[in-house]
Amino acid sequence: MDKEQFTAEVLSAEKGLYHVARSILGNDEDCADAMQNAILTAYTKLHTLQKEAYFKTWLTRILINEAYQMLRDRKEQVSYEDYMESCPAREEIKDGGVFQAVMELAEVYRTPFVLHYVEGFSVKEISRMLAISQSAVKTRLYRSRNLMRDTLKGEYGYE
Amino acid sequence: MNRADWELPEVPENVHQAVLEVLEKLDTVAEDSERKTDMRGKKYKKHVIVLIAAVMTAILGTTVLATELFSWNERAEEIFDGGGELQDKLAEEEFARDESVSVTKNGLTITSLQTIQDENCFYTLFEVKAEDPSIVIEENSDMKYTIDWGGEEDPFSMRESRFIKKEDQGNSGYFEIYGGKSDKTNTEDIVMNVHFTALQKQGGKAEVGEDVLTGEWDFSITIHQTPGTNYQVEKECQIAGYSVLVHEVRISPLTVTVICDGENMKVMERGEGICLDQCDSLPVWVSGLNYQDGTILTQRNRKMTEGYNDEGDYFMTQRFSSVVEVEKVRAILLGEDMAEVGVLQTEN
Repeated sequence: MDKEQFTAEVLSAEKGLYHVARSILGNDEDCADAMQNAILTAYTKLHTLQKEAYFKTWLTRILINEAYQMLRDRKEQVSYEDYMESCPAREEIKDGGVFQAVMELAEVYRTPFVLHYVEGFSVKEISRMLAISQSAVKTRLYRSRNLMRDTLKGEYGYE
Repeated sequence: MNRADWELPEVPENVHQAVLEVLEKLDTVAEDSERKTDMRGKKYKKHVIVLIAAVMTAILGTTVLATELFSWNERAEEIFDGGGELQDKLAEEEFARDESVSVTKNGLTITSLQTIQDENCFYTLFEVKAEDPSIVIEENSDMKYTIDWGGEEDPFSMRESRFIKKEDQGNSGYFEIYGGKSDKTNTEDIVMNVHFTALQKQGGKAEVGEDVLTGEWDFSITIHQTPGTNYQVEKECQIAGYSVLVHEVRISPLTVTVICDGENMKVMERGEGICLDQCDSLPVWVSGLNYQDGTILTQRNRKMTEGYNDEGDYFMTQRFSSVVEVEKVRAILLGEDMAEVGVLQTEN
């Protein structure tokens, strides 16, 4: 894969990457940082990608690692809860619709939900990305579905 | 829930611009970011022990992302204190070479000190000293440089460089360049021409650092791809609960390659739900070395590359956390459980 192809693939995956980054990080500025770092890491490690068909999965996994590393670094200074509560965290997503409801899920459910229902990754792919068992992924998806159903009915008036 | 009804947010303009920015500068920033811990300029704690001739630098902490490039173990330190026997041996076997070339321009002296190398990687150490005592060279300082390979393609797929942290904040520092490669087809000497153009101080987010001193300091360093020692093993061991036949082990003072039965490793892949094709990694690494005198040298997982070769066997190459005295190795220890694999007769 040359630089041009790499660039095209990144731009093609950009929206999905943003959704995933946003599911972990509380604000767009941090999402931009994580995405930049992930893109750069992916480019310097492009030689390790063995099949181009897996590019989006591979890049998303790198992004998840970057985002969690940012959270770990912040935790050295403030607790995760404080980070997610403090300005500029928890920015509302403009015209987010249902996605805004997704952002209100607890992080443990939010990320698997976005990866599966928004971005279409399989349970197996998600288990590798998040380094959890497939049964844990299924459990979290089940719970997130129920929570979303309640939220959409209650706050958003969905049937 | 019908996903078609969802109003999924578009990428905000500032995020999109950040993505475009990094894509435009990919080649430049990729080269610079190999010298930084990350684009945010975040400080990582590092543990580094570097021995330069008989000089020791400070010991620091490690993080998951920024491991030390090179360190010497306690035995080597003792030997060096005793007269440099190990260093002489490494030099004799062409794994190490003192450089001692100095270039002074515009108030900055750069001295190439030593190169340590094998068929998989190299480390080259420089001392950087400013004449002006008010110039502080610290861990987050940087050197701007380019490398040309004598008209050939860059053979190293991995490259990192950094200043080594030291206790005193003075006008000198040690700068280290590391290169790793997985292609073993070319075993000829490699000429690396390092062209330094600036001493830099730490830059801001996603930016290269500001130049403190500029000039041209050129060094030509020959990297000799000294091969390791091959051991035919043909022994079965238990790694992470799987039975694995280890065919061969190849050890140099800097790196180790382990070759295992490919079918055994595919069973491990399936059992662990791991796929090497998707950048997963198998739980196989050299976690320690057993010396003949009973000393156990533990190793961190610094895997460089792994995969299946043309014969269908699994191979894994890893760099050591510290220099190893190969002829004294009795066994390697694999994985978290430190499964012992004795190294028997040599091939060469």
